[in-house]
Amino acid sequence: VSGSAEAIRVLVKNWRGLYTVPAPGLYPHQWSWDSGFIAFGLRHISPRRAQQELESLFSAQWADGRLPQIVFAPDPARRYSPGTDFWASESIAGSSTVPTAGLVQPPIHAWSALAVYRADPLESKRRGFLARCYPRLVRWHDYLRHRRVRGNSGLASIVHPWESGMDNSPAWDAFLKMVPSVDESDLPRPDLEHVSANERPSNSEYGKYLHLAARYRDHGCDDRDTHHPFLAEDPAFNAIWARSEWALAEIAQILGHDEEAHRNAALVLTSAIEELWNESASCYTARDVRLGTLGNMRTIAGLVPLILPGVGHVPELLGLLDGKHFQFRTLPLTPSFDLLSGEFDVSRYWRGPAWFNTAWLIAQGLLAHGRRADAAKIGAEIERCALLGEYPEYVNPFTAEPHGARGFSWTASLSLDLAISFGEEKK
Amino acid sequence: MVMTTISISADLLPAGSLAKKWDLAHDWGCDALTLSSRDVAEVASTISLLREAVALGIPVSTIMVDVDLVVSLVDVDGPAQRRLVDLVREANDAGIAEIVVAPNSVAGDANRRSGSASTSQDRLTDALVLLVQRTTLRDCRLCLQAANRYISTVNTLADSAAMAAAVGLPLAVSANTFHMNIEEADPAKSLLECAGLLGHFHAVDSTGGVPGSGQVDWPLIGATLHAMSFRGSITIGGIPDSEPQSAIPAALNTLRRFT
Repeated sequence: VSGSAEAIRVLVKNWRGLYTVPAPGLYPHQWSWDSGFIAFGLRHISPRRAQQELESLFSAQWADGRLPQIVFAPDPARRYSPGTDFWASESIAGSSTVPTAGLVQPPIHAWSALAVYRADPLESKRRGFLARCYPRLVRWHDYLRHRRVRGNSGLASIVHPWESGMDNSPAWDAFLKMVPSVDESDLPRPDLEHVSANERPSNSEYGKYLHLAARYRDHGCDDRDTHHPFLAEDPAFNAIWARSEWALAEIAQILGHDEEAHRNAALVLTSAIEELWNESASCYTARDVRLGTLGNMRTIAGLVPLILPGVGHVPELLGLLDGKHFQFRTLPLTPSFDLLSGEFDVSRYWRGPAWFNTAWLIAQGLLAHGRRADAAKIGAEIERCALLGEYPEYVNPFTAEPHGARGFSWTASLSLDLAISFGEEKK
Repeated sequence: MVMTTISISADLLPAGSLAKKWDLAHDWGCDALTLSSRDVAEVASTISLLREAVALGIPVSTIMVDVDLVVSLVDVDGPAQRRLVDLVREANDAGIAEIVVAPNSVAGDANRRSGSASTSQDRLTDALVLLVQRTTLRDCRLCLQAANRYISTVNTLADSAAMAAAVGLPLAVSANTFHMNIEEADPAKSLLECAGLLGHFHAVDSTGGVPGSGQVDWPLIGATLHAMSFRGSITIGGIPDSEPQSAIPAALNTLRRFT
């Protein structure tokens, strides 16, 4: 059975008419950055569905330009926490016409939209895809620029670990120390009906997550809470934003608009990310905007700036990737966290397991810096590990033992994307 | 990668003789012809066309038969029944890959409205059982094609699969994209769900035109057939909305590109 055939099956099964669920059961709605990654693979089997995937998310854009982390399906059977009752987004001024979460996720969408366009420019033109996306993407980036730049660096701040997409990454441990928790004795955890508790964030982490989300919601999601207890400049979030600004420049050029502002924004962001360089860790690390301090955890997020042309410290990042902390040369897929840290955990979510989206991002980074053969190696390993584990959410980085959900959409999508990209190269 | 056999309905080819039709189809890049019968009289002519094709060495991948003839099988001594059995046996002997039974009849809609759909289903099931029993098929697959609610009582691929299970004898499913566009909420998912049963694929666009002329998502259909490891043949059907000389090669190009 070929990997691409199985990946297509996963994407067909997880399609819900307008978008793809990340995984049936555990993630039964539309997630923002999942859709961005999913569109990269979906474009190879149906450019039309890939366009719809993004358009569906864009249709839930708030008046302030944000693209919400989750767009909820109006189906009470699809249980998820925190869900529509928690967010009550309909009561928030300027929210979408459909129920959504108030938080955001990494802005991969312009990059994704450009890739979807390239898969079939004629179909894109026929449907007016790029022309309709462009103003929404501009407003999305404007939201980040005007509402989420909370420090002096020009980088966007996230207000919750969930906004990084790497929810319980050890990078957030120090940030969360002083964050209060809701009552942990009665936490709704429908996720544990689908996946073992030792593969998910702990109750102690969840209590803090819910406190932060509730506080943000109770301030109307207006980004004006000057004492919000979590403000982080995340290297992955901002690198993806910068990469999307480059894509937006290309989209503007295709549409005959002025691309210069986007190029400048990409350059400014790329330069600003250097402020997150942590010399002692030899890695980019998240900054606590309230305290002005850099974290000291080596996480996969710190390697993601490799995706940017012109980013500094490329030799150091490649050295870190190859070295004992991440062992690129010897492990099937790169772990999400420093192998040498005492906090490393092979099976618990973002505290060690290897994820397919970050592997794909690292492959894009290697491609951007001339390590084509290594990027191809990631493509082959992604396909092998995905097929072996029935398209798992994440895997043990040493053994590729699957963890989390199975039939996970971005695992299928990104496996397919690299298989086709490198397959076409071979031809 | 396995190349899918793509055939074309001989009816679509703008030429007089079968030999000239095949010359055109071959020049345009088709692998084989599909021969169709829509009434009793046509069964006889289909048999004669099939014999002619065999004699001339023209590849025929598929025979398509109107379902009204099948329903008439319950009249076990009727001439239509004998002709259909003859056709199926002859096709089987000629090494035809698929015989597609397409239950396309206004009776489908009439039966639905009069509440006698279940009777119609029973008759069709009985007819198919008889047909399978009376024709010892070797490598040839007998396929049941679902059609939309206005002309049939077998509307979805799931309906076809259920009928195949009810018949309890070797019977595959043929998917027609024109009808799927009306009846299937998610054509790709429906195809996947009948993966093991799909024996033939009838490519017609949403407008009833040839592939590429309407809004069927051909990249998605092609990817799904690939994911199913589909090994049957594809018949180009539909009515060209422009000159066949340009419409049919364009349709073939659409299918070659995505399947």
